[in-house]
Amino acid sequence: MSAEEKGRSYIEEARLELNQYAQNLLRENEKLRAAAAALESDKRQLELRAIDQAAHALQERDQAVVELGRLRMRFAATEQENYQYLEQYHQIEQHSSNLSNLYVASYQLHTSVDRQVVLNTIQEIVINLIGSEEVAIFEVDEYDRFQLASSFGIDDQRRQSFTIGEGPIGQMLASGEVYAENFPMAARDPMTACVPLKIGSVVMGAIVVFRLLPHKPALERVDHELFELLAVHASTALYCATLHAKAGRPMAVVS
Amino acid sequence: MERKKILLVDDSNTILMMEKFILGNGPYDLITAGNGEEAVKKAAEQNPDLILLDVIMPKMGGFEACRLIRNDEGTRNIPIIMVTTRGEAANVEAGWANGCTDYVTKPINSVELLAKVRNLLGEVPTEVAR
Repeated sequence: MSAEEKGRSYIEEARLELNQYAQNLLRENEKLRAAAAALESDKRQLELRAIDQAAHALQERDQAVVELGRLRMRFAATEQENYQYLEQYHQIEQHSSNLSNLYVASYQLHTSVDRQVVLNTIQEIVINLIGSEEVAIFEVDEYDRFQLASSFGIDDQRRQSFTIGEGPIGQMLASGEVYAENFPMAARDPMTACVPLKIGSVVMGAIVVFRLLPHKPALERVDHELFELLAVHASTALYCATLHAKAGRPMAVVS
Repeated sequence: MERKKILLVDDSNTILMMEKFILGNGPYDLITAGNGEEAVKKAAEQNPDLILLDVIMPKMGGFEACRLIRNDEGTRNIPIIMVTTRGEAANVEAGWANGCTDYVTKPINSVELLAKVRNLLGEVPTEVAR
C-alpha cells in the first residue's frame, strides 16, 4: 500500500471513529436530557407535594386552634360545673345540718320528764343551737300570770311577771304566734324572739330570747324553724314534766 | 380510707349529739367526754387523731384541759379545735395561748366544722376546705 493510500485509510478510520464518538456523545446527551427532564418532573412533584403538605399542616393547625378553643370553653364550663356542684354540696350539707339541729332539739326535749332537765334542755337549745346567752322561760300560774320558771344571762328587770297584753312580752304573746326579729342588732329593743308555749290553743308559757351572741348578727331560716319546733315540743315536754312532778313522779325518771 | 379517731368533749348532750350528727357520716370513730378531766384521761388512753374541746365545762374547763394535753408527751401533738360560745378576740387569744390548733364558734356551722376537721386530718386540699 502506498503512503498516500495509508494516509487515506487512516483519515477514513479517524472519521469513522469521530463519527462514532459523536454518535455516542449525542446518545449520552439524549440520556442526560431525559434524566434532567425526569429530575425536573420529580422536583415539580416534590414542590407540589410540599405545597400540599404545607396546606395540610395549616389546615391541621387551624383545626387544632379551633379544638383548643373548644377545649378551653369545655374546661371553663367544667370548672363552672364543678363550682356549682361544690356550692350544691355545701347547700346540701347545710340543709342536712339544719335538719340535724331540728332533730337534736326535738330528741333532747323528750329525753326526760324531769322538769329541771327539760328547762335546762330548752336553755341549751337556745344557747347552743340558736346562739343567745340571754333567755327566759315563763310559765302561766293559776292566776294567768306569766312567772319566770328559768333564765340565763338576764337581769332582774326581765324576770318580772306579766299577763297577756301587759308589757312588750305580754303584747307579743297576745297574738299566740311566734315573734322573731331577723336583725335584732339593728332593732332598738334587744328582744330577738318570743315563742309562745301552747298546748292546743292555750298559751301555757313562753320562751323569750333576748340578745344574740356577738358573732351571730342575724337569725337564719333554721332558727325560725327551731322556734316553731320549740313552740310545740318544748310546751308538751314542759307540760308532761310538770304533770309528772305534780303526780309525785310516778315513773322512774328517764334522763 | 383509714378511719380516724375523734374525741368530742362537751358537757352538753345537745352539742355532743350535734357533733355526732355532723361527723358521724365521715370515716371517723367518735368517742366522747363530758368534762375536761375526762378529756385529758381519754386523750392519754385512746390517743385520738383530733379533739373537739368545749371551753366552759364542769370540773375542768377546756383551756386547762388543752394545756394539760399539750404538756403530756404522749398527747402534745394531737390537733385540738376549741368549741367556744364566745368568738371575741380575748377568748380566741386565750385558746391559742393554751395551745389550741383552731376554733369554731357555737352555734356550730357544720360546713365550717367539717372543713376544719378534714383539713387538720389532712383529708382534703385547702381549695375544698375553703
